[in-house]
Amino acid sequence: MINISDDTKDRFLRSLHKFEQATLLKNEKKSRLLSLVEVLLQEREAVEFLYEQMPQLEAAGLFQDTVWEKPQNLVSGLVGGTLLGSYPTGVLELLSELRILAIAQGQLKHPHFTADQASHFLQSVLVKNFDYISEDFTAAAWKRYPKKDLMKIRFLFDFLLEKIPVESLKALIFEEIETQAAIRPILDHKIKNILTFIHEKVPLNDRVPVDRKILQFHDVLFAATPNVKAAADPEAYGKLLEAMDEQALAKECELIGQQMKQTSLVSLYHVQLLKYVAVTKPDLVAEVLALNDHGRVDFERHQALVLSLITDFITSAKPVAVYGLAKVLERNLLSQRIAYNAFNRLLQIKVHASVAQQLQKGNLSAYKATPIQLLVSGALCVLGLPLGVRQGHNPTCQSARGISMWSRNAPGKLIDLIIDAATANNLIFRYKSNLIESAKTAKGLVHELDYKLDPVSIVLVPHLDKVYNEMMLRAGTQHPAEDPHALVNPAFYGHWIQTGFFSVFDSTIKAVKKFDEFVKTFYASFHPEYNGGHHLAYPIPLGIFITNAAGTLQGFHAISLLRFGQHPEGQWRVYFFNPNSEGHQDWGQGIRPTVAGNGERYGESSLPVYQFVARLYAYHYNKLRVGDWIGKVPAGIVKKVEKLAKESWGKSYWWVDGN
Amino acid sequence: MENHYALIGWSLPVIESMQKSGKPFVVVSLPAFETYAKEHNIPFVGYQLDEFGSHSNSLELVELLKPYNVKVAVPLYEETVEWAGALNSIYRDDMRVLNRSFLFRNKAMMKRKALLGGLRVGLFEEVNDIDQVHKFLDRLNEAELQLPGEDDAWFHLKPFDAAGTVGHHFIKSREDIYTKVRRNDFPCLAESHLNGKEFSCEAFIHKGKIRFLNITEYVKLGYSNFIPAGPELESKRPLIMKECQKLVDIFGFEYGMIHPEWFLEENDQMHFGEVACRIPGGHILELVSKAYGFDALMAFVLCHDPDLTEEELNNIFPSQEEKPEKYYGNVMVFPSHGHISRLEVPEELLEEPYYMDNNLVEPLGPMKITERTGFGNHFGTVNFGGEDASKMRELLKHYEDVPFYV
Repeated sequence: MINISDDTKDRFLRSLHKFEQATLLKNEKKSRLLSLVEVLLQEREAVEFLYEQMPQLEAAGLFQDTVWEKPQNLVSGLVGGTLLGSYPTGVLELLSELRILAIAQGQLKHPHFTADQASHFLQSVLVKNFDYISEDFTAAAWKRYPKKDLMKIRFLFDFLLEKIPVESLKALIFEEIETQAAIRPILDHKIKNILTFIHEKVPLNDRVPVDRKILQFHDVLFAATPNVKAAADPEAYGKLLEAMDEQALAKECELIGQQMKQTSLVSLYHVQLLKYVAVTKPDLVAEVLALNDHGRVDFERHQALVLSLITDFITSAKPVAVYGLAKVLERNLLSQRIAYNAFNRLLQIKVHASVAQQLQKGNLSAYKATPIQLLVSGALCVLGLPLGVRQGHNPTCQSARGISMWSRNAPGKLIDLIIDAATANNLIFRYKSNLIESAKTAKGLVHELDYKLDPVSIVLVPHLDKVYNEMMLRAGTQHPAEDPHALVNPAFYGHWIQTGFFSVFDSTIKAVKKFDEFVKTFYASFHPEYNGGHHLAYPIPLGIFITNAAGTLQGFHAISLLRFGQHPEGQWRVYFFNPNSEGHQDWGQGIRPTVAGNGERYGESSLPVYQFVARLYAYHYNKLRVGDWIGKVPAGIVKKVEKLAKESWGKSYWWVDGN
Repeated sequence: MENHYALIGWSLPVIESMQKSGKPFVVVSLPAFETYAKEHNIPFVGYQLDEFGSHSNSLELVELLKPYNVKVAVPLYEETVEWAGALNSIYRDDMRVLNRSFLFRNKAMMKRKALLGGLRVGLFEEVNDIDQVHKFLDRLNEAELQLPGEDDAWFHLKPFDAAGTVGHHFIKSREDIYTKVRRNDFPCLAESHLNGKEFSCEAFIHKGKIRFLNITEYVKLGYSNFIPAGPELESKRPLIMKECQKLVDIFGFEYGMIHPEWFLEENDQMHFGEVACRIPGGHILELVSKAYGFDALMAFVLCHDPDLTEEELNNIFPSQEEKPEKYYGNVMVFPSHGHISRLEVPEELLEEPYYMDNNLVEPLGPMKITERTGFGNHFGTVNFGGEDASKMRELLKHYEDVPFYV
């Protein structure tokens, strides 16, 4: 059942024939063929039509000499971002999914990618990109993308779901929900989209084990208590609350508060309840927030402020701010003088007009909120959940890492930065003897910000990105022989960055140097078994090589080392903050960072130490403390790490013996 | 052994067409192309094709080509026209073939020959410095009977031997002479501005007779054109055919294809602009192929062969009795100045029924676009096809200004 005009189809098939026949002009003919795919993709039916042509397209060499050439090396987590890529990247990505579907359905055979692998890949794509399954792309955050580019994603996902029933995805869906919840993300639209879709479209049966697991999360949003179940919507729930006696209300508060504590999820009913008790029964606020003893003390101390935050700033547009508020109270941030003063000042600012606009673009919910409500909600989240910050589809790991680091170590400074950026639409940093103003700096790494970000990132990242980039440029030209990160990180993040810096990678000659010393210094600086039993005080900014499932180098990435810890079974692990972690990742060679199940705290990722070091290329450290410890690091460890490094990213570089 | 064609220069579309034709050929080009040729099984002779002059040793090249049994040389781009002429002089044992090729490479000589033969050309002179340009303008103004205070006559300065609009200056006032002309533009040709509608022809010639004539309508020179020309121009086909054949006769051109540019005035007077005998720009031959349903690139090559039989010629070219059903046109896309970061095909284009396809390239990353020179550096072509010439004209004009890169 295809509605595309026969003429367009004919043109496509003729173009495909020319592409097949081409010898020297293969690339030119491919461009022309792809331009017709773009014409076809205006219609929903095109996806099916193209799917049917897949064996022929594949045989003609459509993916040859492209990054899609080997399906076995593709990463399902990258599909969502690449589909949004400009033409022709997004179109080729879509075709790549259709090819994998053809392999999964037995329409096409691939020597290195079985039908089962293909099915699994697509299931993973669907689950990781659940926003696309239910998204109608009407929110302001999507405006930067041409409509046709978004509609083709709609068509693709609808088609994939026809072929791959949601039923078959349940186990993966649960895994994804659990992983997402373990991150305690500030931007929770992903997990909410999944649960909302299931709520509306997928019947669950509490006698089926996997359904029961999903229901635990589902119910937090849609059926937390019998009263929530009975209410048609949050407004109706508000009416029910008014009719409750004191005991019933207390029970309601406790039930809902505890579910948030377990899952980090906050429903619209929860917001309704919190706002209701803040006005009528302030004593119950601590229950709705499920506060621990620390939190209760702070709540009592700052009750007036907290109640005004609830009534004036928390809205249905950002329910997660309720969880953020709870965590701010449990961190006792309001009892720190500097943070308290800075935060009170934030509540009174006048948001700059263009910042206000950007904040509205980032409001992904159907509910309205003022820019200051969004920003304060965001600030509560960032301050309460420092490890819940993520960079989204932006190349801004440096900025996300900074926000997280400041929230943990210098919340007053972070709030000050938010105030400056929100009111002046500008940030000023000192670098050496000069000032760098973001408003006067032409460019950072971001060309166009993806607005699917938390409010604080929306306000800060455009500025931080430019400042960091400008510092890097200056450091690079002034000290070409040095790795610019060594100079920039302390200037950018602050004085707690250690002054020593070790990079194993010389970018001018593309060579790896002093690997042995590099590994030993790392162990001697940070590993409690080799540094005299000491643990880290401040987080350490690190540079790592990102590799794909085949271990091939993909690029560089900035993360923070948070702590070392010993697994119950005796294995030492590194716990780190990864601003782009989507949960499960596969770095090849069996190196798979986890976010739960190995002693991680919410928002942390972890790996066994040697696996972590095998992807490391630079770190800051304290030269005065390495001392003799370096000699105590066993050579066997270095060998093990070096083997992993040389057989993965190390293949991309020269190895120079610099010992 | 069948005669081999020596393709002088480099053009992948032509090479691919020849591969498909099954006709034997060898490519003569700069040694830098050798590796590619080897990888793709293209018969190849590497030769340092420097600017042709008295030092050039075409006999040496003939020796190198002997193992390939070459009998016909075909120039693929402007700078190889004399090389092909030199080889063909030897193959046909006719010294004047080389001299004739100089006609195409020296615009002053070309104009003089046309003038001698009775074609209408503008007032032209060879100029060697700025002073001579001023004097040329003086005489031109005088001839145009300029009164004090009236605007200067318009004229053009162009290099003798460059393709397209490389190094071309359009001078509209004395002021322009100061601002536009540079010392290293000289020597060059000064020529009065010709009025009328500019268009080009592609005349395939064998034994001195035009076997096939295409008329190309320019929408904007160097940016967009379509084929066949609209009804206004096509209605003048007999006149245009006559003038083209006259040009062929005057030049004594025997084998190959010529690509003259003409100006047609409203009173049906045709002025000769200039003529080339290599593959024209603007993907014109590709449009010819589509509109008339034959491989114009292959025809271009084969036409150079004196041994081609009447029957073979009839098989190559379609009849010109019937007009093609559709017009085929294209717009060459040049990003506008400033920074670009991605390719974005406008949605209105995708919905346009005349839109066929494009081969635009994706920028490798954010980049800065500077001034274009000649008609080079385009980022690809957008192709159109449809039944109505005036709609085609409007579309091409419209998409010249639509940004494809943002």
